[in-house]
Amino acid sequence: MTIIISLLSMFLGMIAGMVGCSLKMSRNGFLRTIGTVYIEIARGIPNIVAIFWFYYGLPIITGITFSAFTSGVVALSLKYGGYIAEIYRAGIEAVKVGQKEAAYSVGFSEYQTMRRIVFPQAFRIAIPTLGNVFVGLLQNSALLSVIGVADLMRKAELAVSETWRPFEIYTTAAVIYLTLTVMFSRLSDYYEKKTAYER
Amino acid sequence: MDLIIGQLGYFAVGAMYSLGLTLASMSIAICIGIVVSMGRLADNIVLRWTSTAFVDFTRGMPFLVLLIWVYYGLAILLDISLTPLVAGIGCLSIKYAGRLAEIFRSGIQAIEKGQAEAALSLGFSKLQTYRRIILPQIVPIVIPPLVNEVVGMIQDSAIVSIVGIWELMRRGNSVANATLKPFEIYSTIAVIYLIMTISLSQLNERYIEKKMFGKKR
Repeated sequence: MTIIISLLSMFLGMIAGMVGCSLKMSRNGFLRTIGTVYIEIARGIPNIVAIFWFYYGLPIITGITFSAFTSGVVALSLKYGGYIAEIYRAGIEAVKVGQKEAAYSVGFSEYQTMRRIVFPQAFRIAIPTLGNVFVGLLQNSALLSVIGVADLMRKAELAVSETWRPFEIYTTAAVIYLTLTVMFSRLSDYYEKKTAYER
Repeated sequence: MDLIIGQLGYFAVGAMYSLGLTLASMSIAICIGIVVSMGRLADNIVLRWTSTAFVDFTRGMPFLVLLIWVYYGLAILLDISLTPLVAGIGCLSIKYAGRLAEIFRSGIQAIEKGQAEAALSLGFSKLQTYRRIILPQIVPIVIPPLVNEVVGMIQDSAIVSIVGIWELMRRGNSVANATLKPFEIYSTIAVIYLIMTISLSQLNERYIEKKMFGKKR
């Protein structure tokens, strides 16, 4: 469950990040302001506040009730979308201007240049950082246990209330989280080395 | 609206708690972080190994899990009862000490090797080299990332509400439960956090980074 939440939020966060990034880099001043405001808010609010706001607050004004799972995943996705948008932007800015100019001069449109030339390179630059973000996301998914999503941490809490053995059970949960995060950060280190070699 | 204005004083005290927690934990984390970063660069393999294990452990553990593990698990095993405040500050410090250690390490590695070699050949001990030569120079390098960590810590301090510290988030929870107005209350809480985090990160971007890098280059 923890892995599903993390993967899903990461996927949605990457989409939100892409939107946020294109807004922030847009030439239209109004869109750019929206992008900046989104990124600042997403990066400035504590995870747990965002989760509570989406779970308890939002249903009241919209009148729609979300399940704990949906609101948790949406909160995490939007929250991490802000970080990911900045990572994309750094990646795009790291691609040399000459590449863009060359693309224009051989007759690529702006959209084509982005899609065919800049983005593939920017994505490769962003991969190691995205790996770190994913590890952070995996850790913070434990916060969803607070609103009752049945992830690893929630399961551990339930087990503790049944068995009254907090030390053993929380240690086990900690070891599982450690295994997951160390695994994914090694994976991201591996990609980092690989991309560093190719550049 | 009246409701929110009426609670602002109550929330302001909570925000003070959040900042106080951050300040206390950050000071401890900086001390531990420096020691650990020196340990990671030490020649002694035991020191290096323990500090690497510490960094991996603290960075790999979700903060919530660490907090609950220390507060409910460790306290029972060792048969001591930690107050929420001690558990909260302790966990925040440990968690961030691991992250700071990596920042300090990259700072130390950014100082040219020749400086340390020169100091050692002049008869400085290793500790003196760190204290007199290397550490003063890493200050401008590490301050911008350090401020980013403070912003992160203000956010993570909201999590310690779970063990019962009356900081901003906990006060928000209790008011939201009492008044049954979660949307207004949680939005207010979010805005207060935003004011704290954005002002700090803007200060960092606009002022501190420029000043620090201006001095160096």
